[in-house]
Amino acid sequence: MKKKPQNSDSILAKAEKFFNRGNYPLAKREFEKANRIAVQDDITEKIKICVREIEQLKAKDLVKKARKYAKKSKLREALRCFEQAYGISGVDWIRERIGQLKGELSGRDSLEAARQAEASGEYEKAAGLYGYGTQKGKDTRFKMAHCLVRAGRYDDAVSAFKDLTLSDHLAMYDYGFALAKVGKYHQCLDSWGSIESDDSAFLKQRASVRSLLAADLYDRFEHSEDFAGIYKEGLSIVDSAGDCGIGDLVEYCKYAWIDQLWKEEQYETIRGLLLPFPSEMEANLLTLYAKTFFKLAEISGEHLSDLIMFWLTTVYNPEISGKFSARPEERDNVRRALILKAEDLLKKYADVGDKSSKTALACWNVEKKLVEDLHALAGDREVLSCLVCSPQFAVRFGKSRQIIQLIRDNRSFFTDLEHYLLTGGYYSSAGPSLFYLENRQYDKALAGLPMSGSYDAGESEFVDYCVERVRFACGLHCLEEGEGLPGQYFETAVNLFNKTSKYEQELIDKAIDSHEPDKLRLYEDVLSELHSRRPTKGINDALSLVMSRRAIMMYNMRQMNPKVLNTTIRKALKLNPENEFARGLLGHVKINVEIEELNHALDRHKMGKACRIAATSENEEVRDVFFEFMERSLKELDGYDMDSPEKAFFLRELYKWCADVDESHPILDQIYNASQIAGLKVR
Amino acid sequence: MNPYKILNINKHSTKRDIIQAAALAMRERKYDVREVAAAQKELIDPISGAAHEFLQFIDLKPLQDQLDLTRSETQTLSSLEYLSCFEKDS
Repeated sequence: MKKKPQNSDSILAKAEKFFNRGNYPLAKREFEKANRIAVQDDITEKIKICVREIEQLKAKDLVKKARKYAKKSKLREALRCFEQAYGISGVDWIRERIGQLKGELSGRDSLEAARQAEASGEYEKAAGLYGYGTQKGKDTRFKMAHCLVRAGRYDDAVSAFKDLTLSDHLAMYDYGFALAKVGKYHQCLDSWGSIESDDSAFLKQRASVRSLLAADLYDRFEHSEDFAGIYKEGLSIVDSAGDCGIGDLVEYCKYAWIDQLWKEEQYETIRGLLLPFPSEMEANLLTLYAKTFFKLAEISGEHLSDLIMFWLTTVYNPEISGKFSARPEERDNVRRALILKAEDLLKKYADVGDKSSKTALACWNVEKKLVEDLHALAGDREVLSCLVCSPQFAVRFGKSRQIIQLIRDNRSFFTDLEHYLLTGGYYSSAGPSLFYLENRQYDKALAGLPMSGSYDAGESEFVDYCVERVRFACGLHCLEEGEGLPGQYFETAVNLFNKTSKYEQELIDKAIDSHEPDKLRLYEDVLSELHSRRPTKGINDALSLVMSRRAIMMYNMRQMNPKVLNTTIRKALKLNPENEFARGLLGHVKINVEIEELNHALDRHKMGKACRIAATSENEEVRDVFFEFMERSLKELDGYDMDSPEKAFFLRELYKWCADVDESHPILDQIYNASQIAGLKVR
Repeated sequence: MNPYKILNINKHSTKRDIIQAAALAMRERKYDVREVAAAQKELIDPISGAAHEFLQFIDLKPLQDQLDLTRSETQTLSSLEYLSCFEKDS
């Protein structure tokens, strides 16, 4: 069918329709048709708009394509598309992207070139190529730094590595090598310290750098006073690789630095340099430790126990005290003055301080006496005088065994067995428990006692004594507090009492001073147990007293009947017939028992028994009770309306009972008179 | 109290030095008069003076003298050559 010719209006309508829908290619075609029929300005304008829009669409397509290429790393193709798109649209961002792509393309090229240069050993060139461009990745920067090292540009290499985090051995080695080459041996060893390698060449090279550092430290030592720096760097080598020929230099610089710090009053830093304690302590070093801890104690109460440990040992050290004065008597005075200074410090803290300061002072007092004794024991014997030290010092520096032997060898020096055992005890492995005891820390004292068999045979007599002392003190503490099971702690008390009776007396005194029934019961149990194994007069008498005292307390609280009371008092008197307290009690107890029995019989109308008790009692009070009862009964009889035979019977009975007890008692006349009035006959 | 610091003298000061230093310290008024007087008294007394000398000064020379500061033979920096043993690791 032949196509129907279109007129200008229908063409334009069609063109507008396409135009409005955004279909610019078809709109353009229709507008051009219309324009061919009749040229119109507005149609020409719309054709231009269509052409522009068609170009924009083309540019969009090109950008889309370019992005796809870029995603697939086809940078050249992407660049071509972006360039075409930019040629159409002239948009700024496309221009920038073109710049980036060109940079990346050039970087890729230079990276490749760098790899080739590195592979062929042209490190200088490779370093330059790796460094090309501004946006370098981490990997590229490592490669550049590596090539700088290989090219011998060590300063640049050090700068390049500075901001990188080194994670692999090659980078650590490269950085260290560059540092060594620029004379920074210590930092080199730091970097190499993280490399775990058994490679013999590397180990040898590391030793060489240590040797270079040692030489460098010696140079610095000769030309500067940076003792702190030399010490710190040297110490890190000595700690990681042993002496390396600089051990003495490091030690020397430590002392030189301490000397500077002392002048600056930096005692805490000095303490840090002096720790940990060495295994042996010669006189010059001992003095330094003592003075440092004295200075620290002047500042705070934190290091009082260290002061105690070093101070007494130092001032009694013959080598040190010999320098106090040329005259021996003056030397002793200086020593006393120095002891007093430390003691004043400790007292100052104890007066205002916490429990630990008071504990420190208590320890000081004990240690002072012990060291004085050892000093006196050693006398002028030079070999022995080096053993004069505090127990804490002896433990720390391994002198305890020698001191124990010294004490054992000089038993006659001590005033008595207690003095001997106590001194040895403090220096024995049970010594810490005695210190706890001094501060009334009973649980710690018990816990600190050495296990049987864990100590030397040579110290066993001292350890045994300590065990006995601690257990006795714990038992006594339980008794005083009225708690726990004190008996378990007194199992070894007899051994202790056999060594020194003062502890027996202590227990006796405390028992006698006790006035609470519960505590008296505990004391009675303990004394009774001890009495069975050690029946001394002291324990015997104390047990007798405690027993009678507790019995009367129980009786008064109605927790014991007169019979048990009587038995207990008699038992107490059997133990100690001279127990005046029990004897005094016994008389009262007897009357009370008889009166109670009498009342019991009267209540139950057992008149025969009542008469017998009253008649046989040695106490008038008992008879008084009997006759008071009879008088009451006589009066009560008056009030009753009883038939004469019954009344006569009762009066006769009364008369008979009273006469059985006391034939001359006035009540008999009263009964007789009463019977006469009633016309009865009682006799 | 460090009497040496208060009087600004060293441990080798004589009795005369101590008295002169005390007079100077009193004029300077850096320390309280009582402190200066106590410092002078402490140092003039031979016993407390010796105690203070012991306390305030340290002598580490005897410890340093025991140490051997002889340098051992060392290598030269040029003897350090790059090792390639780590290159294969990376």
